[in-house]
Amino acid sequence: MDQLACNRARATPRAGARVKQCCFRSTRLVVRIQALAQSDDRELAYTTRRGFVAGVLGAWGGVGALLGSVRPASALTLEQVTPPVVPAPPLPPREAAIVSAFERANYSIVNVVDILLPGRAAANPEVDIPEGNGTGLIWDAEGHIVTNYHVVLNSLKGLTGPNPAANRPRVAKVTLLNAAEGGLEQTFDAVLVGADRTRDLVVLQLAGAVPPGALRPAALGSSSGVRVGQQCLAIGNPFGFSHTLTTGIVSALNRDIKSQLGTTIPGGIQTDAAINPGNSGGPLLDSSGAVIGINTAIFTPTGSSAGVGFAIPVDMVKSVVPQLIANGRVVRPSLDAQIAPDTVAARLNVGRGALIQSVTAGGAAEKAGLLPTRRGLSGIVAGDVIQAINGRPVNSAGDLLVALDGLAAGERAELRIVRSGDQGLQELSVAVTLSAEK
Amino acid sequence: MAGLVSGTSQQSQAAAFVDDAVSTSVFRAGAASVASIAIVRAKAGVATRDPIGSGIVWDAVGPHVLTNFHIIPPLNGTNALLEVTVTDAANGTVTTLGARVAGTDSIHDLAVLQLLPRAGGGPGEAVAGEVAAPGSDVAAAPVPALAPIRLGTSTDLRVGQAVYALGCLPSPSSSPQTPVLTTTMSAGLLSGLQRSIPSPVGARIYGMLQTDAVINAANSGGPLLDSAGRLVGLNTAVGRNQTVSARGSGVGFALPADLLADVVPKLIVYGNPYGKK
Repeated sequence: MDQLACNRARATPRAGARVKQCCFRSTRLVVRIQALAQSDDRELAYTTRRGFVAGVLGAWGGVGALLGSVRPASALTLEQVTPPVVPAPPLPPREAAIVSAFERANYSIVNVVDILLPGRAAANPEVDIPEGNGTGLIWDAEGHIVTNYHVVLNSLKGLTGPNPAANRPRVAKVTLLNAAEGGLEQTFDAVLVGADRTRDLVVLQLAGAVPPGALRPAALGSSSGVRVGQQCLAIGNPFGFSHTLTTGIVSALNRDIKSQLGTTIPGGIQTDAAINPGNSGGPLLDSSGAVIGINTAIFTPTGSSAGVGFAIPVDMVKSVVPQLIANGRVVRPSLDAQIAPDTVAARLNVGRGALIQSVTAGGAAEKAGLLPTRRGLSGIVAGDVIQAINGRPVNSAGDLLVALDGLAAGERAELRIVRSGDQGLQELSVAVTLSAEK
Repeated sequence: MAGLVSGTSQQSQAAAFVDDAVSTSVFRAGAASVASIAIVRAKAGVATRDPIGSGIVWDAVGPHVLTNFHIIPPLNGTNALLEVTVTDAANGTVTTLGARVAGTDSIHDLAVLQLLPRAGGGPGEAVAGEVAAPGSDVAAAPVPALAPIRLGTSTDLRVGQAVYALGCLPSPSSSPQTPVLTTTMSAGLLSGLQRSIPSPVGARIYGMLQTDAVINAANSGGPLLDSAGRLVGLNTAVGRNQTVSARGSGVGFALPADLLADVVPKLIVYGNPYGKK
């Protein structure tokens, strides 16, 4: 992570830079020290201290006679130019609450570094490398660590087989603050316990002997009661600066997060707390210090925080992580149908609901008789639009994914659909036996 | 009063935990101690003024203004002059004074300027050739009554407390004859302590404060205050991704007040940070 460099070359943004949804592509940090007036043509070179001072004095030498009221530096003493220090008053209550929430939560936050990362960085430092340095959460006293899948993507890409966690390979090095030793930083190897690529989550476990009392599991909150406008804190390791605290508010709920792996995660919490490369996998806390989400992605044209960050809600994490710990993978129920993206649905004048674009042959949706979007005599006919599943309203594709999360493969689900036909729109109730997601 | 809470996109962030009464009182108390620094160059006889950043009024005996080393371009061999615009604490009038560099500590990205009162009370001409003959009867203008910053400490800072970054720029309506300043403030919290970043001369600066208050070229060199209005840092740098960006990333850095209390008196008295002649 130590690739810091002073870069003064760029003064204007690259023309034509597109806005892209970026999930922590690059790990290089540049400390930008900016002066307002970039020198016109001249190269901003640094002169030595002596040369600098001599030059300035030289310019003023001619007018020295005028300035009789200037006291020469040698006449001043250190005491005269050292201001008195004002003692610190106690912190206002709001600030004290944030300070103590951070100090409590800090022991549950770890720094996760992909084991394969250092090798790549040395070989080709110019190329944007996928993020390998991120943040994680201590889940329980057994040493399970929850973080994002894309943080350890380098190591996971090399693993093959349907259950890559079967032989518990080493994938990361985890640095934590030892709660029993007053916050002493200790690094452990971590093995893969389970991975959920669809939701960009992975569970690791600390390998080797962890001292008793060193782990302080994170206090989990609930994301169902989160409201837009409430304050939230993010702790992470942006640009390698460990245990950084940033704050913001919950900007929006129920966002579809486009993860770096190409999947869409529904129900995301949007925040304007500064989230940068390195914050991945770290917690989003409410003002009492309870975890309400796991920071996963940012939307930015520049690669660093632009005030739009997304977190996976903790209720979704609470349903995924126990399955990963028990089985190493998550088996999700599926309709075996492709749901149309919102743009396609809008073009077909579908208002509320999840529009079925296509059905897999022999799959659960086809067996239940659901119709895909098809070509009719007068043009494209919209497929069945799912408006409720087991009584729970579905307003978009994301809602359907969230609703399916609560069901199991093999279960029967009652769908309320709107079917387009020759006679116009028809409301129907269809029963589907959910199959397992491939 | 010229001033506004800056950072439009961070507005919602600041509103979340910042107490309006606290932030407005911090601004009211601290705004008078922030100065604007500009470079005046003569091009074909026309004086052009470019603002380069902000500064902190340190004391009234010099008077001295602190700023970052990196915002001052090389002046060696040019006829460019430094100009500092300050606010009079007593009556609020804005004056522009010339300045000379009293000392620099490039390793810590720090520079101390000494204000030089001009004759006539207004800003001087940029062209260095115009000087009155020595011995002529020119009354030096009174130095404005400056408000030195109230100095705090950085050892007892805690991650999570609110900090406010102030900066100062000439207003669009400002002219050399009637300077007008806009002082801005950005709120955030202290994100981390004891950070290290590269310094302009290639070494590293240690012990930096990290904040998510907006720090940019405009408030570089300006003060970082706590909610009691005490100086806890000097806004210095922004960390961001390698890709080109005009925006900050929520990761800003400031020199700690304890470093300033140690180094700045030495820069003023000896001209170097080591305390020796």
